[in-house]
Amino acid sequence: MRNDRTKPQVILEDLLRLKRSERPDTEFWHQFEREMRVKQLAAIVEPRPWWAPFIRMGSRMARYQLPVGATAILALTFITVREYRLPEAAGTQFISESVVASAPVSSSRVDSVIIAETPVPEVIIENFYAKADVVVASVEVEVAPAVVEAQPESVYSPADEAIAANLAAVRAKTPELARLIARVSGVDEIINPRTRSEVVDPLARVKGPSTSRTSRLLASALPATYSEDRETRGSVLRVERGLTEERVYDSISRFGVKADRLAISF
Amino acid sequence: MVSSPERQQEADSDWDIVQRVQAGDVAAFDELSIRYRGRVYGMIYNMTSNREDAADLTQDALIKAFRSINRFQGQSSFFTWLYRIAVNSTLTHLRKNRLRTFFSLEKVNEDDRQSAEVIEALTDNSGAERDTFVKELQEKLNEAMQKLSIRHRTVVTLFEIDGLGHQEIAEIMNCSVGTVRSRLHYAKQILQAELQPYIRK
Repeated sequence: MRNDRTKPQVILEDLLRLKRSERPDTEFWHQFEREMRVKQLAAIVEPRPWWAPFIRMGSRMARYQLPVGATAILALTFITVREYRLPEAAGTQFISESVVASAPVSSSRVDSVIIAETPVPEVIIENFYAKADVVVASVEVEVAPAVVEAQPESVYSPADEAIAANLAAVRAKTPELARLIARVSGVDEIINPRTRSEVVDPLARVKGPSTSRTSRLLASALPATYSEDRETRGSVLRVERGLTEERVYDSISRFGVKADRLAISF
Repeated sequence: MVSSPERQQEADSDWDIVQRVQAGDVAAFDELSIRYRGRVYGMIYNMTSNREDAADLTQDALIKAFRSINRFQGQSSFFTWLYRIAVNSTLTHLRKNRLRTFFSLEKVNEDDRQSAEVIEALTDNSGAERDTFVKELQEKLNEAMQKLSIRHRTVVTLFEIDGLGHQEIAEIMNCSVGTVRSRLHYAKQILQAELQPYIRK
């Protein structure tokens, strides 16, 4: 380097042109040629992927990527929300149609009872432990969406279920009689478990052999006893005044079934 | 756009070869490769300051051009088209490896008349001291170039080292001629400041 570097004689362009002379030697180009040949042959042999035309098409439509993407996201969101809501609405409609009871009933609340639409008041118990509620209205029964959750098995006997079903129907028509029967037979505990927690004495929950017999008899007898005439009301009042479970069992032979009513003579 | 009659003649020749390649004569592409590999390599080397990276990127650019040559319709010269591919590949590479900078420099060929004149003007020494000075100057030049941004470095490389015109650079870099001039002016200011000890005021 010059000793007096304060007086250089070149300009910037000269210095930059100096870089033009930074060239590789001949051997480098031989090596380059060999590697290039290999890559070129590989490019010839390598099959084009099937999606290559799509990439080319996509590169041509690069300017439309943002609006197309936004539209696609909106459409996907719309379809998802629509598909999500449709089954829910359809299910609600189906259940509410199938569960409406035709019988006029009084306002009460029964857990997980589905009442079929038939001319005669008829009740089908799906499950006692179903989470949803069936609200029995004066004209029809309305059921909330997602009504019944299936339980693997019921812990109650068919007689208990039949009694509960009948009690629900009777309760809808004649609350006084239903209350009495529930108190006598203990069906109320089955239908409404909340009342069970009010019982303090555990022995009160134990059912004797007479209870099952009474339940079995009442299960077949109660639908026939459903009546609104005065005789029934009077007998209900009498029973309500002092009839115990034992007395009902002892005088069960006095029951007389006639068509759609049950006459009890004391 | 072709600036000079020589370039026009060269462009016509390139177009003939391109048409042969498009017709299926794969070996004809070798003519194009040999014709432009040195210039493409020099451009990439001056942008990366790494000879291994420059060799790889040059091969990649040529292979890309070979693969895509059926889409080349002659709207620009083959040289401009190839340079655009090479510049884009290099820019992508530099952005990916922004934090990795290894210098791997070629030896300055002092047989070149212009280079010899510049070196002669800067030093009176000979022998080993002269070689040391040339190496030091080369490193300073590369350091100064690496201090530029990628776009400014590209403009300086294409204009000052490769000798392309403003219009050609604008086509290659897909920007306006004014932008090219502006970048060139700014880049030269920075290089002037960096290489002050070697430059006449």
